[in-house]
Formats: sequence, structure tokens, C-alpha cells
Amino acid sequence: MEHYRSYMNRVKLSPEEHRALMDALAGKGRPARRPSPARWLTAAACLALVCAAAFGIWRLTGLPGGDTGPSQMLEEIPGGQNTAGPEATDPAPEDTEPIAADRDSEYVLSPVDPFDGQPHSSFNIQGVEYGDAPEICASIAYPDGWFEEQLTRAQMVELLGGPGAEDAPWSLYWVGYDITGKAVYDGEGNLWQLWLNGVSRSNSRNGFTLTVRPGDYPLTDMIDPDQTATEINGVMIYGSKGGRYGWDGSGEMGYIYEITMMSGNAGLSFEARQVEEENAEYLCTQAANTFAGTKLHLDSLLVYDGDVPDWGKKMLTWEEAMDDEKFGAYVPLYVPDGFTFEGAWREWGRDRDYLTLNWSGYYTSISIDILDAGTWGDFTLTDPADREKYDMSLYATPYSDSVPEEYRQEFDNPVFAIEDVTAQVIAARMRWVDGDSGDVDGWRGNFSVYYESENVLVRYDLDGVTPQEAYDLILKEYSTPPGQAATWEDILKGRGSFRDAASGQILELSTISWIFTPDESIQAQPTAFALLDLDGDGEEELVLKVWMGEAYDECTVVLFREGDGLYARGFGLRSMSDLRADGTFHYSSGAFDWGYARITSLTSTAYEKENVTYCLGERYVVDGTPADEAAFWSASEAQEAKAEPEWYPMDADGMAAAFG
Amino acid sequence: MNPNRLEETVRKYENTLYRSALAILGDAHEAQDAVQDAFVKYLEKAPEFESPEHEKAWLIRVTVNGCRSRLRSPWRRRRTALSEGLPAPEPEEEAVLEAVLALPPRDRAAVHLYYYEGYSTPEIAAMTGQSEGTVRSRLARARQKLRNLLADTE
Repeated sequence: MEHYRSYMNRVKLSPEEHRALMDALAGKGRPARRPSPARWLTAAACLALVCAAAFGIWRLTGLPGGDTGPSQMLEEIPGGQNTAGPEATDPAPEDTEPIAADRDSEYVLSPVDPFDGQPHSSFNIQGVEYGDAPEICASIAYPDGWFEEQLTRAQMVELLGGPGAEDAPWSLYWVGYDITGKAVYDGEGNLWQLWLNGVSRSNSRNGFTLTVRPGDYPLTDMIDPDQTATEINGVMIYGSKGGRYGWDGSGEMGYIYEITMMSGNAGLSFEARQVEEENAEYLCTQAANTFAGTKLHLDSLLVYDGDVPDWGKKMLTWEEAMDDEKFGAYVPLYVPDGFTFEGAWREWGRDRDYLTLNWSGYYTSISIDILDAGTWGDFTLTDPADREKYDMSLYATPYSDSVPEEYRQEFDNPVFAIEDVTAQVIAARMRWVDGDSGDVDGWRGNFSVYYESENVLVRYDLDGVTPQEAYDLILKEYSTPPGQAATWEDILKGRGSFRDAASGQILELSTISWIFTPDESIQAQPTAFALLDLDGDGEEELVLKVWMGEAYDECTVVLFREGDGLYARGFGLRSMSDLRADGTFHYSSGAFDWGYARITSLTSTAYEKENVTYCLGERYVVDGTPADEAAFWSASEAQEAKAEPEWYPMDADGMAAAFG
Repeated sequence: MNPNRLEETVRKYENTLYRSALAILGDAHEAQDAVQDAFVKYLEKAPEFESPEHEKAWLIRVTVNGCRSRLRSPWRRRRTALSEGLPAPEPEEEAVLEAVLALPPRDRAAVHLYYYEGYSTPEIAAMTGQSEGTVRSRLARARQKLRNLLADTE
């Protein structure tokens, strides 16, 4: 079992999964696993999303793609606690309030009793054998480009009763239920699978789900060859029972019966969920007999008759994500040290349009979801003045115990308008977590930012990022008034552009290497910056030390203003090094042609420098005056001893020290 | 419980419980849920532990029991590929992994606890609520099925 052990040794919870576990234990009240869009990165890579059989839980919200988002449904499948129908909070069945469905809606089917309450019964009803439910069902994947459509009453009636039918077949005994339906189509507009879900008006705990798939059994069901089967009208009916479901913590549970069968060219499963077992069996038996005798009519639903929504999905590099036309501006140009880019995922379709990015470090992570807010449903903007709704420092963990119930949902993920975002607001959403025994101390937090002008929502889930670093990740489109050039701080934070004076290229910090080489495999690493007036014009330039790898060594980039524009000039190691606070620097054009110079003019069209102390062949000059070799070397020593400018590190501390 | 203490405990045992749950359930996402459930129980009902070994064994037992409940749940109507969200097996690992996953869940539990965690049959019996004889039978059956692979790798 050596190989089993070696494999299991590599199985570990990722930092993200650990974080989700800790958050769940801290009382956020949600399952640790949260396959939200952001987490679809992994799932999407193998396109193995799972569809839940209990489609009655389709009123879930929170996931782009509509209520039927497969991962969300999977999340909410109860392990015996959650109701299979609409949320029911009353503990006692007799206290269940009737459903107030909109029966006038064209999307609700409420069968009418054709017998006006007169007693009646079905004749020639054949019993169905129900065996134990099979333990395992196949996993399925939603098709590429899937989209969903609500079914109208007319469509549901035609499905069940055929063209010309006016209601659902009475033999189903669905009177008293309000039924809604949804169909999922693939990216070519072909019907993939549909569901009808019925909820009892008198007791919301009673319900059923009919799942239909063209041409074969529904994908949520596998037929076990040994499964209990009954033949009715030449149709094999696979019946199963034994499922239970609860609706509260009382321990009281209802019963689940299910049949799976073919009805004409359609495969179907019918699941009845009833407080009384005999009712569950009865509904299933009626359904089996009905559908064995009356074929389902799918013809008008097989092909979507509208315009198939545009859709697509793809993995992106960080650079490609930044170039995304819709969401690229919100992608941070850099993240704090210690994080490795894991991947980006871009997906769009009906009711989903998002870009998600992930970075990870040693027990740290950055997760950013950028969404079209129109696909996200309703959300509330959190007022920064209402600190009790978002400030983590006001409450102790577990938050489920300390945060008032009325604020809980908002507290879990506050959404701030970009105009309200300040460093203080973001800091209030970050908390320090102590670690020991090898744990990683660090800041953690989450929040969302809303850009009303673009209707874009950006969600941040951060672990190992300081409050200032978290703030720095946010696109602050209002930090620079329109028409003015970016500040040095903006440039250093990747939020502004400048022109390379030599080539004319428009560059940003992330593309600064292009000053020296078009080879994109060479990544520039700014290591420090200084602010000093190099050319004596009374205005400070921004001087960057940039590590350009072994081939180019440490280079210097000087950024300067000219009019309303920002420009940059690059200097290789031999052209400028050992900068001093008085603006002088070392240069070397050869073994006998080197010395110390200063910039005298910096413009977008040219630059000039003055060699101050240098040797050229056997000629020596000190401070512009011819000198002998000894004087030159003495001046060289004095030059080396001069103070350096104040170099700030390229991190949040450096920014704070330089700019306050 | 002190949040730092909880963090320490979770860090210490999360992967042990995760591996056990994964071996039984065969699904990474379910296994994560099972781990969460185990730690919730830990918060709610953990007794005074005599030793770290006692604490670990208690957590594993809670996890195993939780997995059994999940296996029985009617809502557990899907199975995802083991590879989803997990490290890819090396070529030499694939065969034994596939063979173990092909075992019934209860046999997998015994195999994992015996061959990976190193527990004895009496300890496994206590953890899983089965008799020692049952555990030995499960191991014997698993060994028979894995015989060729075990002969090459043990």
C-alpha cells in the first residue's frame, strides 16, 4: 500500500479550503465548501459540475447563472435538515402556512379538479414495487453554453397532456399543487433537461419534482440492473423508496418515493416528497400509471425557439485578464509579495458574466471575482456610517453569536460603493488572526466594491493581505480627477501610464521592461524608488531601481513630468548607477572612459548630462577641471562616500513613508 | 473555545480527517463537508481528552460516523470523479488508488485506517462501531481484491 500512502500524503486541504473551513466554524453559517463562481476555476477546468436531483430547491440565489446553478443546488442539498420545498420555519406540521403562490402567473400551473370535489378514483391502476434507493448516482456536467428558461403554464400542460390539453392529467392527482417549470438548453438551443416542481398549497412540506430528459433517462439517475422494477403497459418502471427529508431540527421527517421510466421518447423521474408515506407512494404510483399510458409531449420544447444567448468561457493569464475589455480595468496590476498567480477564468452567458482570479501563497490567498452586477441579483450597498453592519472589530468570533441577526447577511459580505471606499472602511473588514504551532499569522477579510457607472461588482476574499494592501488592490477610478496626470503614487501602484521618451510607447509599471527590451519573457522587478530633482528644474523626478534579470542587471528608470504628460527614460547599469542624493551618478563607457555625471536636462525629446568627474584615456577631470590621476582617485573616493538618496522599498510601507 | 486553540486544532487534524473522509466518500467536496461537521461536533461535544492520541482517535471516529450518515443519506445522489480538486496520482499510484476506490465504502474505511493511519483492528472496530471480526473480514476481503497490488507494493 506504499503507493496509496504516497498519494494520500499529498492530499491536503488547500489554504483556501482551510480558510473556508475556519470561516464556517467561526459561525458564518454556511458550508465550508463554497463553489461560487470564484471557485469554479477548479471545477471548470474539468467541467464536472453536478446537478441536483431535488430541483425543488431552485429558489436559491447568489450564483450567476440563475437559480439552477448546479453548484449552488448541490450546496443546498440537505443532509436531512433542509426542506426540499420552500423554506419552512414552523416547527409543527399543523402550523404550516399555505403557500401564497401567484396562481395567475403564466408560469404557474395549478391543476383544477375536474370532478368539482366529487369523489372519484382511478381504475385499472397497477401497483408499483418500490425497492431501496440506489446509493450512488452518476455525476453529470451541464452542457457548454447552457441557459435556462422558465416554462409557461401552456408549455407544461402540453408537455403533460399533449396538444390541445387544457390541464394536467387528473390521474396525476396534482390538484392542490402549484407547479413551476424550468428547462435547460445547451449552447446550441437543444433541450438538455427540464424540471417541473410542485408544492402543496396546504402544506409546503409536501411536494414533488418531475425531471424529463429527451431520449434517455434523466442524467441524475442511474438504473441499477438489480433495481426493483415493475412493468406497466410494456414500460419498465423503476421504483425506489427509503429517502427521508426533514425541515427543522425537530427530527421529524417526511418520505421520498421515486420512479424512473421512459415515456415515449422521453425519460423521466418523478420524486414525491410527502409527510405521509402513503401519499408519497400514491403520487408515484399514479405518475407511473399515467406516464406509462400517456406519453410526454416534448416536441415543442426540444429546440429553443428564441435566440440562443451568446456564451463562452476560457482560462486566462494575468496579462490576458488585464486586457479583458469589460473587466480588465479592475484586475490589479500587482499583488503583494509572496503570492503566486494561480489562474483566471472568464465566463459569460445568460445570467452570468464574470472574471475570477486567484493567487496563493503559503497558507495565504487572494481571490477576486469581477462580475456584471446585473447578473448578481439584488444586493444592498452598505453605508460606511453604519459600522455595526460591517466593522469586524466591533464583534467577537464566532460572528454567528455576536453579530445581530438583522445585520448578519450584510455583515457576511458588505458591498461598498466605490465612492465610499476608504482605507479605513477596508481596514474595518480585515481582522488579524494569530497563529502558532506553525500556523501563519495574518490579516483576513472580505468585502465587495460596486461601480455604479459600469454596473460592475468586484468581490475580494483575502487571506494574508494587510488592510493597506487590500485597499491597494481596489481600482480607485476616482482617485485622479479627470484631465490630470497620475501622481507618482498612482504610477507606483500601477494605476497610471506614462510614455517612454525613447520609443514613444505608452507604458505602465507592469510593462516597464519594454523600455529596455521587447522580450516579454524578461520581467522587470522594481525594487526601490526615490524622489529627487535630478535635472535641477525644481521638480522631483521619480527614480526607480529596476531589476531586469541576469542579462540586463539593475537598471534605472527616471520618470518626469512635461506639461500634462508623464515620460520615462531608461538607463542601463553602465549608463547610470550608484545614484547620490545630489543627483550625481556613476557611468562607465569603458575601462578608460568612466566617471560621475549629473543630468542637466530631461525632456520628452532628449536628455543631456554633464560629466563632472571622470577619466578619459589618460586624461582626468575633477569637478569639470583638469586634474591629475591622484586627484581623480581622491575625488572618486569622495563621490563614493556621498549620501545616497532615500530609497523607499516597493511595498506598502515604502508608499506610506514616501507619500504619507 | 479560544479561536487560537481552535485554529491550532484544526490545523493539526484537518488533513487527517480529510484523508479519512475522502477515502470513505470518494468525493473531495463531500469530504470537506464531513471534516467541517466533525469539527462542529468537536466544538459542541468534545470531551476531556486523555492525550493527543485520544483526541485524534475521537475526531476520526466522529468523521467516520459522519461519513456513514452521508452514505445513507438519500440526498447523496451523485459521485464526482476523485480527481476533481485533488492532486493527480502518479502513474504508479493510479492502479492501487483505483482499486481501493472500487471497494465498498466500509471496506475503504477499514483499509485507510489500517494501512494509512496505522490503527489496529480493535482500534478500527472502536472507531467504526463494528466488531473486531467484522473489521478483520473487511480487511481480508479488501486484501484479496488488492492482492496483486499489495504483493508488489508492500
